[in-house]
Amino acid sequence: MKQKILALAVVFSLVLILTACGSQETPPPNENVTADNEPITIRFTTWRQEDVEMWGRILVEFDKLDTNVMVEYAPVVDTEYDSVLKTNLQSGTADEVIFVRSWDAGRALFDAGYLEPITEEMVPNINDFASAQLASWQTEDGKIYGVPGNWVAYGVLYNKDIFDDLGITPPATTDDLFAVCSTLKENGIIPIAGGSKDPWTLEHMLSDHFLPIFYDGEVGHQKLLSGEFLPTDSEFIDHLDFLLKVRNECWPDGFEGMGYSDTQQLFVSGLAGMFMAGSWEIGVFEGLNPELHMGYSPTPVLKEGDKRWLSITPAGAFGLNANLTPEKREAALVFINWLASPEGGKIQGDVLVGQFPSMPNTTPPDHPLATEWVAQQGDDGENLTIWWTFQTLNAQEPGAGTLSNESLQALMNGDMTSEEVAQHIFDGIVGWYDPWK
Amino acid sequence: MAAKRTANRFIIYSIFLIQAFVVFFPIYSMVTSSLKRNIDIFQKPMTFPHELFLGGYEKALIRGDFGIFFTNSLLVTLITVTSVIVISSLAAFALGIYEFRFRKQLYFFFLAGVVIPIRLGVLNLFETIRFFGLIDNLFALIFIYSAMSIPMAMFILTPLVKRVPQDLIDAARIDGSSSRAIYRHIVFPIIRPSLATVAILTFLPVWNDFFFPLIFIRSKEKMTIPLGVATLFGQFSQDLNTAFAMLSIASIPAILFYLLAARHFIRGVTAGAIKG
Amino acid sequence: MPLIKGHVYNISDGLCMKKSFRSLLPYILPALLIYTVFMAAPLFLSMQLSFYEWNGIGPKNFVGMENFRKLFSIEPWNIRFLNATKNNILLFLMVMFFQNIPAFLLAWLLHFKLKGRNIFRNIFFIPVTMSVIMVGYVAQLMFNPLWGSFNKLMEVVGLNFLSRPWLGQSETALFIVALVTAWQYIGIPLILFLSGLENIPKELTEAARIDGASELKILRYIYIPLLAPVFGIISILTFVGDFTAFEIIFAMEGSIAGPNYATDVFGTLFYRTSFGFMGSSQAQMGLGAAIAVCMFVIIGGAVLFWQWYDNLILKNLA
Repeated sequence: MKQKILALAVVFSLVLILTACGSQETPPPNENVTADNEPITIRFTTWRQEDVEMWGRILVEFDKLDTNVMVEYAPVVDTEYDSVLKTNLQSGTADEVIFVRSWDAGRALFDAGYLEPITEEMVPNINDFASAQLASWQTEDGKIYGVPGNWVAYGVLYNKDIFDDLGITPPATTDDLFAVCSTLKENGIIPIAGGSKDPWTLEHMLSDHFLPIFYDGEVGHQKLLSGEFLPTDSEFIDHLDFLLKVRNECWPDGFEGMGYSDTQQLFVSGLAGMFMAGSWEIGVFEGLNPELHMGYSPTPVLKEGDKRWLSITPAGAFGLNANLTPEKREAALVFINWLASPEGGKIQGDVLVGQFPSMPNTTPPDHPLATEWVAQQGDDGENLTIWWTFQTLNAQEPGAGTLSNESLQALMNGDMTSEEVAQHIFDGIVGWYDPWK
Repeated sequence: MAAKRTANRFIIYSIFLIQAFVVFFPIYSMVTSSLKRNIDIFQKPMTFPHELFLGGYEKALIRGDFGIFFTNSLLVTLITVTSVIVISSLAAFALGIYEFRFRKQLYFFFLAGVVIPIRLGVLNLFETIRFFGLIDNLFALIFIYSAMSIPMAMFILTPLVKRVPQDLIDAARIDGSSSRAIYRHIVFPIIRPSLATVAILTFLPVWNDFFFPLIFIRSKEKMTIPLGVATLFGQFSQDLNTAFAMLSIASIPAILFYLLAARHFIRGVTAGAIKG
Repeated sequence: MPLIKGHVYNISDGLCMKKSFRSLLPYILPALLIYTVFMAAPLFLSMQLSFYEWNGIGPKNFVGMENFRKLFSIEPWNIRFLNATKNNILLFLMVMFFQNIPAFLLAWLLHFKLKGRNIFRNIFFIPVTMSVIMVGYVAQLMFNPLWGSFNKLMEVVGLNFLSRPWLGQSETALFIVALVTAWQYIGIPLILFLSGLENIPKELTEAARIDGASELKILRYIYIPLLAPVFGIISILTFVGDFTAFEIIFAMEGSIAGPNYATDVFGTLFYRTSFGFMGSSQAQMGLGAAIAVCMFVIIGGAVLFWQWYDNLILKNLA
């Protein structure tokens, strides 16, 4: 009995302590009475938890400007980002600066009136951004709802030490790729660190990455959007057959159970020779193993002389919450303008290695691999092509994202054939996408 | 006879030891991996670390404030469990003993909550929490968790209250006992053992939830363990050693805490039942 | 679960003591208030969503029964829904088998008062104290085909042929989810069975022993029949737990519940549909609400069935 009384007493005193703590909290300072010199704190919300440390370094640079604005980096678990953000926007508790996803996911926020359109008065250099960068956050009538932050591209990362030891060069064509794979395999090295457990890696790092070499990059992409080219066409099926061949000849055993982080570890630890990589991986890999010697090689093409497309997507833009007090709005704009400036862009590009800043007039990042990768876009970005699964074809369900996720995994695990995958993707999208009808 | 008994004992203890191994193997593999360099985890996942590598712990501790996560989780869970037990046993008493208008409707109203995932109501719930000014306040979690645990508690307790022998209650009523006295002296002692079951079933989802803290908690000082872990796991998923170190930090203290209190805890569940 | 002899009531039976609703308010009001404000009302309001099409933001379009029609008869939604139903039933059966049967066996062995039984009992309960999401992460790392310690363990004990990408194959993934769930929660049915066993009147078993009944006979003819109500409550708790499971699959396979939807259950289907998936699929809150309504009907039906069963066995026991 005594023990029970004691236990109850403990619980109730805890309740009391907590209530006391709660009531001692000072009410949030009224923003209107903030003195001029008191810093205004704003929050910048993103899905990039991996970048906490990097953004810490970027914000140190911003603080040096002494702007009276304090910025807090507020990342949300990436899988939950969209639901948390929507909830917060609807109840008016969202953060001031919002990292907006490209294309359809970001557009929904703007259409619902939660993002303020960005004008030249607010961000003077907004119209200097390349139109390819602006396009994913722009409405048909030209309204812009986010300042482009960065873009990412695909390519091949290879382990320089292994390639040098074996005296091989990175593959220029797909035939080279399979030759390199067999050499690596003979020498007991996993040719490509790949796996099918996380289907989104198949969607982006394989299909979005390699379809351009089959359907002539942006030319084919535009045809796909207009309905002149369909997933059931032979080039699309060829690209699926190619992915199957990569799986058969270059992937490790047990690939069905290997997720994204597993394959990253394989490459970083030197057990695998190549990685079909997003450019952001440079920073991740260097952080994990500073001694790793990596080389970059552009996406192999079908035959010598083909145009070398660079498959990219704009990743995120800095959006302005439409429901802010004038003080907060002004503070948020100070921050956004700095982010959009060449200086801000430069720091972002240097710190977030491989997430290429979209800002105009930004000098290339101080990193040989990143510089090489960016240079692949050609003059005025003539080599750029946008991921096929991201733009427009994902506006409704079932969209290109869901369809390619599910069917590519089935393809890799041997549950579907290339023809079935192509048909599955077509059948799903044609139900709501008129140009394909 | 004696030989047979020894053989039986041997079999029983072997089964116990096998199950103990099954329990400990994943925990062993988590802890040893947290003390190895990444390359050793790949190549020798089973062995004991040949040197203690603490880099993962260093990284995990710099990023995560585990002491605070624990305090928050413990506070939220304890208060929720206590209030659910008090509140639901009172309501179950009224529903299980007395006949009144809307009794059945009320019971099914509560029961409906057992089966609908509360997550679905998150947008409307957000409005409610904001209305009460509880954003970024642990009380938001306590209210939501209490609300979502009450149905299960009622679901277990009400039928039990109904089974309290009618003669006992009749006798008490003839003696002129008030409903309060009937609750305290007759019903409560009888349902007490089952309160431990209610406590466990309330404790589990509350201790595990990371969805509501994710939505309602903003500041680091108010994060609970699952949210803290989910947030950090995203940062370390490629860095196995640190990921394991973080998982160890987050789970080992709870295990030790449980082992210290296990005697009281489980006695509460089992021994109490004997009196019933 | 204490076994109490006495009158047996059905919830729908009338009770003899009448009282006014108002005089009972002090007992009912706290529960009613908290439950209504923080759960029932928000849920009720969002259940209406099942008649709308809504991406979680922006305008809601009334579509009548369209969402339900999608779930039952329009591809691909009906395939997903059927698949989740199938997986949920499989998961429930596997957990019943791998968790509740061993739990009963262990409880039976524990109730012979052998030395050290308390230590073992406490050990078996340890995994319950770990959070699901952490167990899921550890399991995900352990079942890795290349360096996961599970495959290595299989090699050590000479079962090399068992080494495979467990979580990556559609044939094995759900099985592993069931095993991990059973690993974590075996302590709960174990404790419930144990307290049930210890509540069985000693006179019954003593009398049987004096008559020379073996322990197996006692198990068969006394324990199992008398524990029927405990089996019932454990089954329904397992059922409700599995039909609302989400976190464990989310941690091990992501909300896409791969491979090829082999681990997709109502919880993940509801979540993925309602909230979308990392910007690569759109949120469909209305369709999600329709899934929740179906979950409500299924689990509600199971609970009603259990109540009927519970009353039935109690009548038999009494």
